[in-house]
Amino acid sequence: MRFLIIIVLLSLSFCGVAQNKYWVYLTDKDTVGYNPYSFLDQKAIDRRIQNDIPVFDISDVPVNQIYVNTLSEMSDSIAFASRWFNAVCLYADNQQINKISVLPFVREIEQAASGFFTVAETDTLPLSDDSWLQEKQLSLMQGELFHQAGITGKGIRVAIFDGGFPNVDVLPCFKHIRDNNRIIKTWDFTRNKENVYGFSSHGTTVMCCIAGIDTTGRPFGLATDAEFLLARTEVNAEPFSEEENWIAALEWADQNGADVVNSSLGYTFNRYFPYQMDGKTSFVSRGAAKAASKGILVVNAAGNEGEKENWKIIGAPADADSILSVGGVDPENGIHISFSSYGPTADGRLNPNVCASGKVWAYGKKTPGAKYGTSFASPLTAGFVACAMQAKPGVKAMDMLFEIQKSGHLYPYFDYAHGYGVPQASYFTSGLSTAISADFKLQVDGKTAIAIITQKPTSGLDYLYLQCWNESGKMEWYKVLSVNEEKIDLGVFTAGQIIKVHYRNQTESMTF
Amino acid sequence: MKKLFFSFSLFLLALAIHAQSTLMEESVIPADSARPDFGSNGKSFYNSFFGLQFMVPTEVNDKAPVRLLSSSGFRFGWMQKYRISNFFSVGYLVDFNTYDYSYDQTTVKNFPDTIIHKQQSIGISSLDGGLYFRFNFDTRRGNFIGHYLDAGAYAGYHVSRSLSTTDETDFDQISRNRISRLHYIERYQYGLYGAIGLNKFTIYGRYRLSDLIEWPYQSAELPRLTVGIGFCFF
Repeated sequence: MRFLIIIVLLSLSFCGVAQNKYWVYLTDKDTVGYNPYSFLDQKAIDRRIQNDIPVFDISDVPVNQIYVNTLSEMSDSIAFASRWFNAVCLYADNQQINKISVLPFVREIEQAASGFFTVAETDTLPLSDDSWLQEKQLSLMQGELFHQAGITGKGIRVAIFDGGFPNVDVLPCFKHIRDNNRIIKTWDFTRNKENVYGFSSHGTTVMCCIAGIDTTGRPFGLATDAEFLLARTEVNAEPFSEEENWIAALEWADQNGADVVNSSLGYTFNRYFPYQMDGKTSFVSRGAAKAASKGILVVNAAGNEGEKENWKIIGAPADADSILSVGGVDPENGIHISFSSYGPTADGRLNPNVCASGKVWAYGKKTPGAKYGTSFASPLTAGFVACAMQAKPGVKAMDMLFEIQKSGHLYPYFDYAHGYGVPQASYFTSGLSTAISADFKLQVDGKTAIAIITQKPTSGLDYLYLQCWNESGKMEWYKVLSVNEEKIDLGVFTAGQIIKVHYRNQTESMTF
Repeated sequence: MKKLFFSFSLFLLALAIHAQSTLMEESVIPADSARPDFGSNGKSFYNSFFGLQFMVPTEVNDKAPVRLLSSSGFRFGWMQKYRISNFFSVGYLVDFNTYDYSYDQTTVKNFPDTIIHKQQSIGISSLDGGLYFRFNFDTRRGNFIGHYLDAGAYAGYHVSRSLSTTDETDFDQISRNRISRLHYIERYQYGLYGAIGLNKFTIYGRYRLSDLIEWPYQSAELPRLTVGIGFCFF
């Protein structure tokens, strides 16, 4: 009998822990009194105009406050009301949700839940030469060309979503931002408070990778003159994460005129199956796609699951269509870094889109150190995107995403580890396409393919990239080969197989 | 000279072989496009497990005083579950349990005997089978065990029943005695089983409904509640 009581108590406590959280979708909105010109920041209006998006859009109208009040009275508490989804995230028990479900203004109810989000590991690496890494994380993207051209992300507003930003208000690497009042707004969505300068140092490192400058004047990231919106959306470094915080932060960033959003969040196996990484299933992916439709370029880390056999795919929201998913490369050799998640998405779309250094030298809470993770490849790329936006003003967000892909050092070649490669600043500073060259020839001898190298490698990063597709148009495998000979045996292939080969600035394909 | 030339040629050949190397290679496996039948949140799933358990006296019995933390045992076995819904699964388990009931050596005890030993315990090993219901509390979870509550029943056959005593002799020697096939210990037991868990870790409990001690010693009935911590292997 006692045991039964224990079981009942335990189950009750379990139910208490697993609080029922729901998204309640509503039928309509009240547009009376809504004025986009007073509701939205001027930069948000400018962005809409630039992206040919109507300034008045029903999805921007806040949720009907009468409905919110009614739901608040009928539930335990309200977590967040999403104007984009016209939905209210609330906590309720079964009895309450049954009553809510029959309200005339309730269209649909979806159960929301907590999951784990992935952030990069932040261990300090035993590196003796930090200046090398600090220089390399930017030179991989030809960052010096932006610097020489005076392109520093000026006028571009970047929103960062993370677990906290301790000491961003005091660290010397952000002095140039603070002195010019370029931290426009901050908000802690986990506590509904303005102060975000505490908690996980992950956000500090991320911001440093976008815009930090060290005490000698050398940059950690490219967008040193960008403006910032800082949102704390996560409670700890690797905690249960609340999806609604992320969506709330997206809507907040939109309202406050963000051009670029950097996020290092990724829901994976705790919450989803790999087949659900289709950009349509997870709530955050749908939110990310909505942000893209508002003209915001969302840059998201591909994830750090590359070494996990049970999750050989990117996480959500990196699976979302129309956002920039960023993988990681080893700055020492420019090749995929082992932990960086692999694509494609479950529905076969290219992912990650591009990649950047997965090891960085950047500030943590107090001092600089070596950090690794796609969480830091993402802000390096977000900084690059801000610079690209400054270099090509007026380009729509979706077009800019394509431009960033085209600037990849492998473009038009891609694979599911590197995407189109590391974005190159020369694409934006000189406008040159890097796709036409004669660096090798493909020779076929029966079923064997050979690459004849006509231009010797000029840097340690000139590799031969090879991939094989089957007759039905699915990529079967891909490789990266070192180039130390004039003739490179690519292997034996069967009829119907297609190979694509990339070396330096040339990409060729051949069908067997 | 010839030998040196031959060695040099071999060295060059080796260099040539290593001149071109594969720096990275990945196969694109399309298995990610479908939900797997087998897995932590698949149609079926099995795992082996190991546990450390403690017998918990719920009543004071001065005549047969079982000690709380010293009475312990191990558990290992195999369990399978079948997913009915995201919230509900059914399963069975087969496991081997050891129970070592350690007795306080007091002057008032009269079971298993009235002698004060250095140590005294009744050991039971049991081969059990059980059925359980699993309730998961993670909505929309992936291929992931998650938070769960198990509730079920078990029955077991005692493969060994023994009484062990340790004594110190007057000559500072240690004397150990073990009596097997105790006639006053039942051959079977059955009871209720429950567990709460998160992924590979679990806290479980068993409440024995059957008596372990046979007539005429029923008043010395052993603690019915066992709680333990477990770890799942895959």
